Amino acid sequence: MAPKKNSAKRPQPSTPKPSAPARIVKVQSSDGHILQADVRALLLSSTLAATIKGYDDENKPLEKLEVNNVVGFTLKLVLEWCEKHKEDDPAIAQAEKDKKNIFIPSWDRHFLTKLPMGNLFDLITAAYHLDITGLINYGCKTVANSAKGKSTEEMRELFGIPEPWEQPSTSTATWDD
Amino acid sequence: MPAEVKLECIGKMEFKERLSLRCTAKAERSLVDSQKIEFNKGRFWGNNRYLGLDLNNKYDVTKHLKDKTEALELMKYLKKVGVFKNLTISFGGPKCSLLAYQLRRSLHKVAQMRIDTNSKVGTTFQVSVSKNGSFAEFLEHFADRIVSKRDKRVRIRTNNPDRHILLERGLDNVVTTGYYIQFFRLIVISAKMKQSEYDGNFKEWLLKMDPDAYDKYFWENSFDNFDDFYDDDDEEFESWRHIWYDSDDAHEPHYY
Repeated sequence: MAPKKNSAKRPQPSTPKPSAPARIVKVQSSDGHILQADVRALLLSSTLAATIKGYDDENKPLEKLEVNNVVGFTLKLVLEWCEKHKEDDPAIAQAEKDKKNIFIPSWDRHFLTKLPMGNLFDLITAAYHLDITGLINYGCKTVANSAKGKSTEEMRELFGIPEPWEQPSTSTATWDD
Repeated sequence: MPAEVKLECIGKMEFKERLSLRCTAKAERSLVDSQKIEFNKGRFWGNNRYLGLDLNNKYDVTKHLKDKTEALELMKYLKKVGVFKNLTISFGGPKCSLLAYQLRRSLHKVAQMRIDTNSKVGTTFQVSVSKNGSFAEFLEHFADRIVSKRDKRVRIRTNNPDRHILLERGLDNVVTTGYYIQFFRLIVISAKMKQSEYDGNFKEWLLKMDPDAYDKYFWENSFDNFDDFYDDDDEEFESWRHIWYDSDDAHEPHYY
C-alpha cells in the first residue's frame, strides 16, 4: 500500500509508556472555578510544571494549583487539550515552534476550529501565559489559516482592530514614518 | 489579544496575509515588521521602465516606474524581513548606474554574510550589475581566503572547513567581458567539490536573470541608445539605492 500523503509532516506520537496510576490534582481558575486534571497533562505547561516540581522537591502535598490569569471557561479548554496530548513528546512541539508550516492533527483541527474566534484567542493567550508550546503552535496556525486570503478590512474584523480614525494616538509620529 | 500572542500568529502566516495585516494599523505594521519570513526564491529586478519582484514563483508584482510606490514599499518591507535561500537581483539598463557601486559591494558583503552565518551548501545569490570592478573587488576583499582563481570563477574558504564559496561570472562566447552588464552567481559549495563538477552551463542561470541576455540585437541597441535612456533626473534610482544598499542602514537584506 502506498504511504499516506503528508505522513512525513505528521507528528508521530511517542511510544506509549507503561502507564503509572494517574495523579489527579485540583486546578482553580481566576474566577474561582475548580477543575481536576492529571498531573501528566499539566506538565505540558512549563509554568505549571515548575510549580509542581517545587511542591515535589519540598515533599509538600499538592492539593490545588491556582491559575490566576485564566478564567474557568478557557481553563477547561486548556485542560481538555492537555489531557488529549499528555502522552506527546514535547520535542515535537519545540521543533515546530518557529516553523511557519505545521500540520495540525485532525482532533486538534476540529477542537480549535469549532471555537468562536474570541474563545480561540483567549485559549491561545492562556496557552501563552501557561507556556504550552504545542497548543500555541496549533492555535496560532489555526488563526493563520483563518486569515488566509483575507483583505486588510477582513483582517481588521478578524483581529478586532479599530479603523485608523478610531485608534488612540500614542505618539506624534505619522503613519508614513 | 496581547501583542506577544499576535506575534506568534504572524509567525505562522504566509506573506500575503502578513501584508494585509500590516496595512491595518501602525501597531500591527510594527509587529509584522519585527518577524522575519523565509523564502526559497526571490527575484528583484528593474529596467528602464519597470520595477518588479517575484517571490517563490507565487507572488509577483510589476510596476511601471511612474507608478512605483507599491513595489518600493514592498521592497522596503522585504528588505527588513526577508530571509532568502536563493536571491536574484537583476537591474538591467543604463539607468541603474547609480546602483552599480553598491551592487558591486553587495557581492563581497553577501559572501561575508554567508561566511559569518555558516550558510548551507547550495545557498545561492545572483546579481547583475552594470559596471566593471566587482570581480576585482571580490578578489581584493577575500585575498587571504582564495583557494583557486580562474577568469570566470573564484573559490574561497569559509570558516567552516567543510564549505567553500564559489563566485562565478556569467561569461561565455556570447556574453563577453565587453558587455555593459555583468552577471554573477555566488554559491556555497562543499569543500570536497571538484572543479570538474562545476556547473558549466552559464547560459541557463544567466537567462533566468535576464531572458534577453542572449539577444544580440537587444545588446547592440542597448549600447546604441545608451544616451537616450540616460535621464538627468535619477531620483527614482536614488530611492532604490537607499532601500537596498544604503551602507549606513543597519537593516541589510538577510541571507542564509
